[in-house]
Amino acid sequence: MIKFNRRQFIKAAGLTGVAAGMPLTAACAANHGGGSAKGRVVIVGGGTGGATAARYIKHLDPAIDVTLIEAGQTHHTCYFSNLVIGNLRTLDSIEQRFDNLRASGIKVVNQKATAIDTNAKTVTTADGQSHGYDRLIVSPGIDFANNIEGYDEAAHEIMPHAWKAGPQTALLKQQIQAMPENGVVVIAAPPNPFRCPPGPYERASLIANYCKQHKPRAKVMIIDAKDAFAKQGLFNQGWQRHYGDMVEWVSGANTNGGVKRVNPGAMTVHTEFDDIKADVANVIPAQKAGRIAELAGLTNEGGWCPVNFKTFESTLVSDVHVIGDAAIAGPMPKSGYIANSHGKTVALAIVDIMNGRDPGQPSFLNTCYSLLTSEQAISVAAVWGLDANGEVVTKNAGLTPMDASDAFLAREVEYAKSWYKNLVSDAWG
Amino acid sequence: MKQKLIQAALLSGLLATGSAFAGSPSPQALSFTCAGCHGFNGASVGPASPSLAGLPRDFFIDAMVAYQEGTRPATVMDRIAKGYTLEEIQAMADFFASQTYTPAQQSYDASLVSAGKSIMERRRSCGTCHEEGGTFGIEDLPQIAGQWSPYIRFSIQDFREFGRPMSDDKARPIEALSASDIEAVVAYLASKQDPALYQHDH
Ligand SMILES: Cc1cc2nc3c(=O)[nH]c(=O)nc-3n(C[C@H](O)[C@H](O)[C@H](O)COP(=O)(O)OP(=O)(O)OC[C@H]3O[C@@H](n4cnc5c(N)ncnc54)[C@H](O)[C@@H]3O)c2cc1C
Ligand code: HEC
Repeated sequence: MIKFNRRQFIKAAGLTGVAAGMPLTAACAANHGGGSAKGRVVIVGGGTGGATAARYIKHLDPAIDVTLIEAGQTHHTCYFSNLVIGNLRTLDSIEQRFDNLRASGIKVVNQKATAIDTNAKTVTTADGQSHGYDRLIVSPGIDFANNIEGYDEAAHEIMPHAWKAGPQTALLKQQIQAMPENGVVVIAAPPNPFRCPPGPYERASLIANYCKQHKPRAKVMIIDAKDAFAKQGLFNQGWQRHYGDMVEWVSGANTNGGVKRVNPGAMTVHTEFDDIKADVANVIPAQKAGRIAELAGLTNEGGWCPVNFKTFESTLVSDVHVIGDAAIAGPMPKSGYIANSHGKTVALAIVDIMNGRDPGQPSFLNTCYSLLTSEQAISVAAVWGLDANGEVVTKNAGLTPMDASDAFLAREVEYAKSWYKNLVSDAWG
Repeated sequence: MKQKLIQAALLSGLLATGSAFAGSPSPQALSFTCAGCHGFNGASVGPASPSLAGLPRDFFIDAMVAYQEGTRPATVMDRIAKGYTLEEIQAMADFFASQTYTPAQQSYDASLVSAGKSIMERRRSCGTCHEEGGTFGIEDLPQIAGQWSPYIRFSIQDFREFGRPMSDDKARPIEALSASDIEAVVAYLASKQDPALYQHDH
């Protein structure tokens, strides 16, 4: 692949008098054995980050060959999975398909990527196929670190994490509905950094919302590894107002770091000081980048992937970009909205690179809504850019105001539903 | 020949702009980030957040500046708008103004449509400025037909209850609406779903 920097490119365009992009189309096509494609992008992970990147690359430059490799046949979004657990939505309503991406000319391969060879520039899938790339995007989401003794694969089926949506979501929902009227739900909340900082607390709210109607003597207990959490003041206000002492949060300081061990047979969770018997145990372990990122040598000692914020290219391996939860993204949280924002940034950057242009400056936006009840939601919003050194700077950030009116919080529910619908249709078409 | 020179100047001008403002994100880089709430290229798939595609440039800029200054009620746009410079807002205004308006495909109460039409067309009512059934706005006003119905209701409520500033021309008709009038107008505006209705030669 011939690479042009901006100055050379302007010169080339000026000399030949041809409009932007044209000479390179020809040059790159020749390099790829006469095919019409300008270059090959392979994307591992068809969740929010990967689907968005695929859609926008194809939209911005249909001449780029795009292959999306996703382990599942479909993808369940984690966002709004707390509404499923709280019986406000069906599991089917958060299931995304790949038909529209396929129809737009993206090759979708429903296989697990088992290996990435960053020297040969190939991805191998479980069916033994090899997929060559010029640029690779990795958006595998998260996997779990082993910080809780006894929480093995078998334990996941008894004490669901429900931190990857799908069967785990259905299991947790079913357990809550089946528990006794005075049941105790224990949520073991993870240490930082983890996907969706307000997620465990929205979950507690929506489980309480369900219990208030169906099991009014139940209790929801959050045993946290941390001493503070996202939107804390707003959640506390909402819990006091709607659930009284049904929801209890136990700070990490009170247990020296939260749940350390579980015993699925006895349905108990253990901190350094207490043994707690649960009717339903939702154990959310510490997290790290999806396993395939580690296999490809993209992770640092902390288990996450360092990247250049302008292009999301790995700082460890060239021609490989990491986006979404797996990336270390400075002050940007691990959220669906930001994975979508990363997906567009990497799409613009790769399209620029494959057309011989210098990648432009990125702009990032995040908004996360959390439902307190079926009628009230709160949100956090932030805008980021890059400074002259390529570091992420916060342009503005803010929360729903405290003491907002019912009308305000009800509007946030309507806008949260719009957020979901527009976000998934932006990513999966 | 003259034409060619202008074209060449434009082309080099474009390229030069790219490097001179190496520090600012492109209109696309900025505007793409709004899609998660306002839809791909600003065409919202609803059910409440408004479409931005096809908003008149000045209306867009005024809205963003009002959100920044806190003079327009907002649940979230105040916090978002404060993240951008005026130049960035102008770049996004151009981007969205150049996208095609896509009227919302939504359900509405068909039995209210004709009542809504008469209210819009009363003397000195909404239709004075929101012409042709709300599919066209005079001056820098946007089309209000085809916008998502919950958003129309929220906007009317903002004017009437939450202090969104309005001129006297606007205040009179908006304050005159009864609750059932509002529902009739909402149904009428929602009934305008054919994109061809929005092609005007004004
Ligand atoms: C309960 C909960 C609530 C949340 N709520 C919100 C919210 O309200 N707002 C918000 O913005 N975010 C929310 N999030 C966070 C959001 O879901 C994630 O941040 C987002 O999904 C990250 O996108 P991603 O592309 O990095 O990973 P994902 O969306 O998880 O996608 C990863 C994909 O990669 C695939 N994959 C992984 N490894 C391989 C492999 N080897 N081969 C092939 N495919 C592979 C997986 O199958 C998966 O489909 C929530 C998360 C949780 C758990
Ligand atoms: C989290 C969802 C969300 C995001 C992200 C978002 N908006 Fe909005 N937007 C809204 C909501 C909700 C409103 C209605 C006002 C309010 O309640 O804040 C709105 C209203 C607007 C309006 C007024 C439209 C009209 O016709 O009255 C404009 C203009 C606008 N947004 C521009 C933008 C731009 C530009 C961006 C991206 C930089 C953006 N928005 C990102 C949710 C969002």
